[in-house]
Amino acid sequence: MRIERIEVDGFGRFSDAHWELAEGMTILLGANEAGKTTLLNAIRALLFGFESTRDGRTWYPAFAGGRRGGRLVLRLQSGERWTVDRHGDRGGAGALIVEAPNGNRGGQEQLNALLGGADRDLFNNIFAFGLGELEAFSSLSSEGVSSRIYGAGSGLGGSSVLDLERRLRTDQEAAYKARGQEQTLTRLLSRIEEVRGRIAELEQQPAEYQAAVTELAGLRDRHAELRSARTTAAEQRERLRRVLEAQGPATRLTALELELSQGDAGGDELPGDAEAVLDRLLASLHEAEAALASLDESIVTAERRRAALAVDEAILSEVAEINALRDERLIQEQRAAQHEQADAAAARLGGELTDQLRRVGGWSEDRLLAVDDSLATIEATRELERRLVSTRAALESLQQRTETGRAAVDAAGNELDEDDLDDREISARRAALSELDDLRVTSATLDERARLTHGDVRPDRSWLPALVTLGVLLLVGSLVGSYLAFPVHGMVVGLLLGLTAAAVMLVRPVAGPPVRDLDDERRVIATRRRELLARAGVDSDADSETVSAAADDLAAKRAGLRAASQQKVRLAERREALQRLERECDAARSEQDAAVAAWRGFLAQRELPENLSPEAARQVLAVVTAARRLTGERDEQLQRLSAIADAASAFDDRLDALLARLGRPIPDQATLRPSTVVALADEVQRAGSDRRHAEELDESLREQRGRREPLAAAIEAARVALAGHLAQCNLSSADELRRLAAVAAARRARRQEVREVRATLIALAGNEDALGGLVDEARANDPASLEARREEAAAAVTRLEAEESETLTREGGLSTRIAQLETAEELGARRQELALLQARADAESRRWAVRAVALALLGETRRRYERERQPQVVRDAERYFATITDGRYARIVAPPGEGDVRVEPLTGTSRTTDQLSRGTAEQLYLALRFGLIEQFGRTTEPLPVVMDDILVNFDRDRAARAAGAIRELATRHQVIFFTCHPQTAELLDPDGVVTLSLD
Amino acid sequence: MPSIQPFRFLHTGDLHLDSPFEGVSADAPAHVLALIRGATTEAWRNVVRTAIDERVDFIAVAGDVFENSSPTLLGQTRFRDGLSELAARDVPSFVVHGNHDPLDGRSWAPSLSFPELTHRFGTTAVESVPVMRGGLEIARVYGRSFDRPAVTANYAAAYRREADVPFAIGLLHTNVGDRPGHGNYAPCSVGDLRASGMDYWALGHIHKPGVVLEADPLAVYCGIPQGRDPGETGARGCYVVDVDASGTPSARFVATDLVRWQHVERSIDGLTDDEALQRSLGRSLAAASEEADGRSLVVRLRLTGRGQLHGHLRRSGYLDDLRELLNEETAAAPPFVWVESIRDETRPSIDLAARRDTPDFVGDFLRTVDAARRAERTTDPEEHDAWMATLRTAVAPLFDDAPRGRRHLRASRPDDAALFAELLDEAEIIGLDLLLAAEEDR
Repeated sequence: MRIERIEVDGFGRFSDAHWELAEGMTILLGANEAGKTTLLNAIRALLFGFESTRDGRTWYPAFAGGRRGGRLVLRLQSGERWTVDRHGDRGGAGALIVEAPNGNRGGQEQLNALLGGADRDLFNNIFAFGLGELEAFSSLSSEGVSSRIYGAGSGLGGSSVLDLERRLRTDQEAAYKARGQEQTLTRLLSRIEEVRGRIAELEQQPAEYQAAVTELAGLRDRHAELRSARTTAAEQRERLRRVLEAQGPATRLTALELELSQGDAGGDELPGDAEAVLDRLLASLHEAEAALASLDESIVTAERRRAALAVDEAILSEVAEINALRDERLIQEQRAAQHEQADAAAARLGGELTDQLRRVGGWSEDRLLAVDDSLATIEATRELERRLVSTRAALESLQQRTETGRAAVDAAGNELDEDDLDDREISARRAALSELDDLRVTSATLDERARLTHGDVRPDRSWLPALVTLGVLLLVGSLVGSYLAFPVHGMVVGLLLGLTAAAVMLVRPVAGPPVRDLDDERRVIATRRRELLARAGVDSDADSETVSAAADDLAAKRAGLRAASQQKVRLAERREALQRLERECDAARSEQDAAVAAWRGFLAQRELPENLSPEAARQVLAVVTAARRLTGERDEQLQRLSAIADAASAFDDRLDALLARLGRPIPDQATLRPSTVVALADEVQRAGSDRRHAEELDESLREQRGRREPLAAAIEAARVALAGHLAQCNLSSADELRRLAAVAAARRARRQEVREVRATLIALAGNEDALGGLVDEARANDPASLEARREEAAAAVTRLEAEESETLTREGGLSTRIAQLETAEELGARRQELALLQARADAESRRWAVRAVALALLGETRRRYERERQPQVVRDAERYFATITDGRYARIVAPPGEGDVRVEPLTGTSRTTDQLSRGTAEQLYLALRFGLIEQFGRTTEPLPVVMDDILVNFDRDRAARAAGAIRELATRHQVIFFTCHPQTAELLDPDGVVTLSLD
Repeated sequence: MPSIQPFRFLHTGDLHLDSPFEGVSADAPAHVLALIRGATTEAWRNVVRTAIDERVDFIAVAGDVFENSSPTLLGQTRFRDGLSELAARDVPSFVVHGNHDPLDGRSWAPSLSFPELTHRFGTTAVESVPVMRGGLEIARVYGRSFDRPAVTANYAAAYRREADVPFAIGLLHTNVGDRPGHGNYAPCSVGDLRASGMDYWALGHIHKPGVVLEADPLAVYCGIPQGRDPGETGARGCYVVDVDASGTPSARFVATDLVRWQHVERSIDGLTDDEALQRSLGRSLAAASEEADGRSLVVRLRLTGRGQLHGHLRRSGYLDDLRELLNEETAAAPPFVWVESIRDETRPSIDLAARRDTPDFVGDFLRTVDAARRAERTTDPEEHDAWMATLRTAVAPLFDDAPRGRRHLRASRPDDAALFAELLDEAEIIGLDLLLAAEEDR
């Protein structure tokens, strides 16, 4: 890659400046302060960005104006041209635009690709350097650079072996690292240690199991002993408790027995239920007595109420008639209303009938009703009407058509005109004219023949069709020939046939009548012409125009004659049609008259006015129908009125008769009659109710009187039973019985208590046999000593129970533990875990070991390599160094991993850099840089080399040789050399062709 | 031979109850772990169930019921519970003890009581116990238990058939013919077995089930009922032995395992992308699962071959992701196929021999590794010592300097030449991958 052009928009002292650079070497010559370093830094800035200054000031501000930055036009080895454009006000990348040859724009990524991975560090130290960098070896031994030196010849590109070793070590140390904490193996080993510890604990389990089983057996024996002792103590405690409990009941038993032996035993003979029987007998006596008293009272009350009741039997005998009249009364009221309605309807119908009679002109009712208004009659009027209308219409239509036909016949008769010529004459004249035409053609043919005969004729056009015919004949002939068996011969024969036919065609027109006959013919034709003209009615000297006009005239006349003939035929037809119509007219008129006569007959037969139209007649018939309906309805209403009056009169008669039978006054006013009926009906209802009540009371009295007798008998029986009971008990009164019964009950209660106390004591003693012993012991001992002994026994039980429970708990614990130990999975699980961990640790440690061995091998290889092979960089540097030093030094040794290089002179021992003069050291560094530049260029796009007056410390000879080396470098790399020394410029560019002045 | 009563018995042994699964190096999901954890005891339950289902007349247990080195009471009680269940169904049991569970007075909990129908053979001499059915002897079992873990005497030589025995069964924990890879305890030869006059040898100690002698007598290693480490692949179980009226035994293997170990190897040759690899592995796992007889599988995958996928496999975390992806599909629920680990033994696709001759750093590296390898075989003691010192120094920080590493990583400590050779092989690939990746980055 080379820089074709540098454009600076603004950078330090430069503003809007540009430089075109040569392909190989360009020398930029300028005095101090001319801007060499500024331009060098501008190139660096455009390629790698603006540097930041520590004090915050801007690095090369564009104080001369313009935007800070610019662009480089780069040309690659491939010929591609790229532009790198960068601007910015501060440090850093700024705004970078990288434009590709195709115009695409990119940024840092594209620039990195262009620079082949070279970074600012590498570029500053190797490709763009001044005296300062050259003097400091540290810039060469910085890591990025040294790795290049040693990676260069290894074939490993940018990576150094040390890089690879570092990577491998990182990988290895992920598994294990001395003093690390989080590494996989470290953690695995730590876990293994834990698990092993836990397993050691768990492995004590068989011993523990054995001990537990032994201890459990001992505990079970002890438990049996304790259980036995505890049972004995508990029994003792229980017995004492019962003795103590028996002391109270025993004392009570003694007292009760004493009381029973000393008390009154008189009531003991009395039956147990004597008092209850007494109570029952007394109760039944009192109950019967009370019932009798209550019954008597009820009878008296009923008798009193029956006496107060009186029933009206007279009115009850007329119940049916009164109820009938009551119902009739309601109908009577409806009749009055119906009477009014019928009356009004009859009046209205009478009025309407009168209206109808008026409509037909004041006929009487009888006359109107005598008219037949049946449907047949109405239908007859319609039929007759239709006949009248249709005959009239037919007549009118025929009369119309007759008029029209007559007018047409008259018109046709006027139009017809007769021609002077008849048809035959016209045909004769036309035949003559036709023959005249034929004669004209014949005459023309004769003229032609006359011309031919005299040879003064021009070639006739009729030859052309003859020639065509000839061609066809030839073709047909040859085809016919080819159809034969021998095609060639056939063709020849055909050709001959064709030629013969053609010859005939050509010769024929030449043959014709002899010339001398022509005039005769002409004369005949002339004569015939004159005859024909005469026949055609044309002058004999008429020219062809006149003849033609005559022909046209004849044609017109013939057409007119034909039209007239057609008109005559049509007139005859019309006259015939007219006569036919007139006959039809007469027939229609007779029909019409017959229809009118029929209608008049119809009217007369029904005594209707003879001038009535069918429509009017039908209206009269409609009035008749309406009048007939009204009369019927009116008569119906009149009949209803009469019936209502009859019914009302009958009702009054029945009421009067009833009242007479009951001896009641007949009301004066007719309007009071209905209320009388209602009052009678109410009385009937009351009388009925009274009768039912009286009957009920009578029944009740009968029943009560029947019950009285048994009650009295029961009272007597009860009294007898009571007396019997007292006698049975040998007692005279009920009170005596009651006293004795009370004494007996008290003694029974004592005896019951004795039984209960004994039962309690038996329960305490356990059985009846032990009762005596228990009671004796209870009586013999005082409660305090008994209680003390019981407490002692209870304490022993509690103590033994506690000990037993403890034993049991321990037994349970041991059993559980034994079961646990028998089924303990943890030991197996931990062993499994350990096995897994161990397997993983083994795998991981193997991985680690493999890497350790790989590292050892790589390290060993690297050392061998360094020992046995010098990198290519050093070889290249050696070559340049030999050139610059004129062969004084044969070898450069750059042991990798060491911070220094050594040089070996042709004679003498090798020297380190600090054993070299400043000039020689700088020459060495320059040579090393050249080596690196060459190396870099082998693997990537070569970068331009920028040097800033680096030859100042060289003596003249060495400077000249160095210049030669630089020129050699410039054959493969672009070299931009800044200098303020014209002589340096001259050394590098003796012809001055590539030197640019910065001033 | 006179006619005898036909009968049937079950031959098991090497139960190793409640002992851990070894060699699982990845974090297993809980349900996998649970199954693995209970697998030995559950397999013993399967043995008991088989005995009941097959209506055997008795069972013979050929030692190593549990592991003395990792004893748990649970293992012993589960054993006793199983025998009790059989006794409840009148099925007697005959037990000898082996190197892992010797009757040394310490291994077995002395207070553990066995059912009356269980006979545990003593340690002092070969005992014989008749097996009765309906008052008649159907067979006689001969046995002797180990009295210590390492019995070096030939017990089999003392087994001798007695007169009038209908069918003689020799029950013994032994290494027949000094099989390599197994402790040579109570060693004996095939000749000893033949000379004893037994009709059937019920042998224990070798975990792989198999027939030692086809006939005269039939001698069988019952194997372990449940494989417990990556080496114990395939079906594991017990034998049901039918003895016909002529006294001829025929043994039938019955699988009792719950989970099987399986090694699946797949070459990356010809595989071009991750998906192809995943698909191919998926197919391999499905095939393995189909052969597993409905059981869960713990699979060790080994990737071999060389190809472009090698670079992918070497990426950090790639194998873990791949394993998780595969397990997502197949290890969700029993019967599962759980990929326990994926071993990458693939090689980069470059021509190593050619590369070794290239005069650059990679070539130097390969030659260095070669030099280290050669040092294992060199006759130059100085070079050998120098290389061994280099390698020991490299691994010392973990295995020697770290106290916990010293304590817990003894088993994996690289201290012999063979192990170093393996490490060198792997280190070569790792270093090469790094260097080639750096080359590609150029």
